[in-house]
Amino acid sequence: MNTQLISYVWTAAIRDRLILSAVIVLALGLSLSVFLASSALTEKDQFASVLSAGGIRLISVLTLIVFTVFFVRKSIESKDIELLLSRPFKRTDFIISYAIAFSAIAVLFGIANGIALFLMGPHLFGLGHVVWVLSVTLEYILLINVAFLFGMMLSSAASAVMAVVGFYILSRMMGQLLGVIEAKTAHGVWKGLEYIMQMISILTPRLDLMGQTSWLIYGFENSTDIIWAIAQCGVLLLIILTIAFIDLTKKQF
Amino acid sequence: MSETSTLHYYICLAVLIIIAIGFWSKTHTIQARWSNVPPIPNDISIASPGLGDTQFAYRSYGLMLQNLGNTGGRFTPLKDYNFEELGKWFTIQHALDPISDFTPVIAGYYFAASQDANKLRPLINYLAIAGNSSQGEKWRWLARAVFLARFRLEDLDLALNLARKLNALENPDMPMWAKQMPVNVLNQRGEKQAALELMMGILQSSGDKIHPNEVNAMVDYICDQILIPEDAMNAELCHNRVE
Repeated sequence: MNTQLISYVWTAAIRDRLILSAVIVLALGLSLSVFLASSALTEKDQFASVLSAGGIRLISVLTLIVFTVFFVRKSIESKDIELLLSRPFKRTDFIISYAIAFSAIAVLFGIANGIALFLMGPHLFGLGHVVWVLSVTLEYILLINVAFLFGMMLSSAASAVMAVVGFYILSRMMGQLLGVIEAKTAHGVWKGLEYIMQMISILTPRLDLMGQTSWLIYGFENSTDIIWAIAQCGVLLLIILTIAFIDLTKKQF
Repeated sequence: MSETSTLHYYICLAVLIIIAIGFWSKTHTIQARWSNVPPIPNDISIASPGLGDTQFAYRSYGLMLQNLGNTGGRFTPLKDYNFEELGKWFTIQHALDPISDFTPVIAGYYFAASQDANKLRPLINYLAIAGNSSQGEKWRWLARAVFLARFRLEDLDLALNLARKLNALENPDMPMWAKQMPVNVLNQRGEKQAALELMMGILQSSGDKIHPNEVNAMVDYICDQILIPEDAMNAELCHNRVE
């Protein structure tokens, strides 16, 4: 781990006005959610909580992905990374330092989400909210590192953003897809597609189990499912960083 | 570029703007048509509005159902809605969140106000599902279903069937009037003896647990609504009441 590399990433985040943009976008997202919730015939508080949480989760993910991919691509194209790697750093240090710096930004977004939800309704805040914030923070850490990897591997920033967004949507929908497979209704060629999807699901985190907005209304139900999902995310994070390291060692700067 | 060729571009631009005005004159009064209640999603896409988050999907569908047909400056009479599809949407909502009362509220109080009472059957069937629970105050949706079946749809068989389900719910907090609903429907159907037996059964099993005023109201109902005046005069229960 190298503190200079970490501060380099954080400086870039501040210079690119990431924090300011995030605050503005989160405020707009919350305002829109409260506006929509106010039109509900009943259960306005519940609508506001669920729509706000779902909205700021999506906004945060997209902001983190776009920032990370464009930052990494810009660093490569402007040869900043070459300059950094010419200094006496190990390539492992580079990957670990960047991962830590990005993860810290993800944690900052998680905390901002928690504060936003608290301000939305302090009387509603409880264990469900705490678990929601912790689980989406883990989701952000995972995704920002996926964005880091794709930014390193793909030569186009637009392609990398689309790839990470696609990965995110697939991860959020994986529970549904696996549920359909478990129903065992497919035959013939579809059966083959089921096996392919199951193979893909090995490397896809179960983000549908994270950040469930029902926790914000009905509280968190103690369940081992979330522990399995968190453990899977941890392993996938290590896999992502390993791939990023392999990619970096193969790259000729 | 010469001045002549620049002039050609300006003429071309002016012609295109005139064509655009022509199209606008045909399109500016056209409103998007509402193709009634949309079909329900399949198993895969049911939670897609929330990207797998079922509660988010429930709330998104909830707002969509509430505002259905009344967006973009359009107002649609409730009688024009496809209630068969609405019933399917309500059932999906129940699968996504059986605890929330939002969907029963819009089904039982908003859509139930339809000018065409004959269309309400799918909605009543949904309320029967939403209310068939011993949890909390869910019984009230079953009571609402009985009310709608009896007074709006005027299907006494359905109302009796639902009232019996309500009566069978194991909920100690459920008020006595809800337990008595089958009596009211039986009385309405002219099945006086069955109504009397059920009411007497309730009085015998629960009479000591309920407030005397409520017992008096139940006795009044038996003597004034179920029994004919001659029988009421001879009934010991009513005789005691008179004295």
